[in-house]
Amino acid sequence: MKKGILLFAYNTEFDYVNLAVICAKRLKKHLGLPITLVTDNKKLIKDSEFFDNVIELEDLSNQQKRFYNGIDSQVFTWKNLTRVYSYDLSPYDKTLVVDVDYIVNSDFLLKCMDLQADFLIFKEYNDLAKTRKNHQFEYITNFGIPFYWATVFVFEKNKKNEIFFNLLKFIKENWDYYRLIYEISDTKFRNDFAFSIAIHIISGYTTNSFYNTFPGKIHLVQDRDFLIKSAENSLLFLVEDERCQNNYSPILVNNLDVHVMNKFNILEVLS
Amino acid sequence: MTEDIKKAFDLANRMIVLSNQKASLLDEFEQSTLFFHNGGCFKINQTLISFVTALEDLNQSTVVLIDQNNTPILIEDLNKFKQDIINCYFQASNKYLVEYQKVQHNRDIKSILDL
Repeated sequence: MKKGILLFAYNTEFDYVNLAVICAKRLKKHLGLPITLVTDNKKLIKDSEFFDNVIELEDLSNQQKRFYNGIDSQVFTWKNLTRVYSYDLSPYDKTLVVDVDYIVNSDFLLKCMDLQADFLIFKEYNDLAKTRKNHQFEYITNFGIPFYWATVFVFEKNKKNEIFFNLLKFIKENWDYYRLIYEISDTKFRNDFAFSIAIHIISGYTTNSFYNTFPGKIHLVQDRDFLIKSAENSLLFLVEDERCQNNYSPILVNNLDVHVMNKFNILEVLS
Repeated sequence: MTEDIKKAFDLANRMIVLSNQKASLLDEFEQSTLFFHNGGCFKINQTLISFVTALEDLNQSTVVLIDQNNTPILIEDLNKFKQDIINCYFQASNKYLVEYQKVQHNRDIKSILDL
C-alpha cells in the first residue's frame, strides 16, 4: 500500500508556502514518507527538495480572517477551500493530511498510519495552557455536535471514504445551508466544522462516530501564545493565562507534535 | 509591597512554571505509553499489564485484545507482547521519574526550561 502525506499551502498576505517547507522538513525527518504539496503557484516554492510531488490547484476563496500573533492581529485572506478535495488529489492509497502549522516532533503519526483504520481524526484536544477551558473545541456550537479537528487526518482510498469526501464537497458547496442547520453563526467556511458535520451525517445523525479517532489528543497552543525557541525535538512556548490577558508563563514540550496556531511565530522561530 | 508579599508572588509565579512543566511531562509520558501492535493501539497501564499477566497465568499464548478504538486485535505471542509492554512502560516511567525529579528539585527556573 502506497503511503504518503498531503499538504495544502496558498500564499496570501502570509507566506504559507514557506510554512509548508518548514512543516515538510520535520515530516521528512520524523516520518520519512513521500510528500505532495497542493498550491496555486509552483514558482513560490523556494526549497522544493522536501516535496516529492507538487499539484497546482487554484483556490478562489476570498474569505477574510483575523490572525493573531500574540496580542497583535491582522486581517488576511484565508484560502481553505481545497482540503475537501483531498481524496481526489491524493496520489497515495493511504494519505496523511497535515496542516502546515502542525509541528511534528515525533514518529507518532507514522505509527498511526499502521493502525487498522481506514479513517483517523482527532477529537480530543490538549491545550498546553492547562488553565484554559475551550468549549469551542469540544462542540461546534453551544448546543451543537462534537467537534473534530481537520488539522490532521488519515484516510484510505475506498468506497466509504469516497462517499465521505463527496459529502464534504457537497457541504462546502452548500455551506450557508449547512451552517444554518447546525446553528453556526460565523459565515466563513471552516474545515473543522465541515468535517464535524460530515462525520455527524455519515454516522447516521448520531454522535456514535462511524470513524476512528487518533489515540491520545491533539496538543495545541493558541494564536495568542508564542513559540519562542526550538531545539531537536523540543519547543518552548509562552502561553497566555486565560484569567489575566497579557500574562504569560513558559512551558517546554518534548517529543510531542503540536498544533501551533500562531503561524507568524513559526516562521520567525523555525525558518 | 513588602518584601514578604513580593516573595509570595515570586513563589506563585514559580509554582505556575513548575505546574506547567509537570503537566507537560505527564503528556509526554501518556504518549510514550501508547503501544502500537499488529494494527492496534493499546494504552499501557497497570490494568493492561495485570490483565495480560493473568491471561498468561491461565496458560493462554494467543489471545484477542480490544484496543483503544475498540478494534479486536490478535496477539499471537502473548509472552512477547507482555515483555514488550512492560519494557515500554518501564522506559517511559523511568524517564518520567528522572525528568520529574529534575523539575521538583531544581530551584533555577532557567535550567528547567533550558533547551
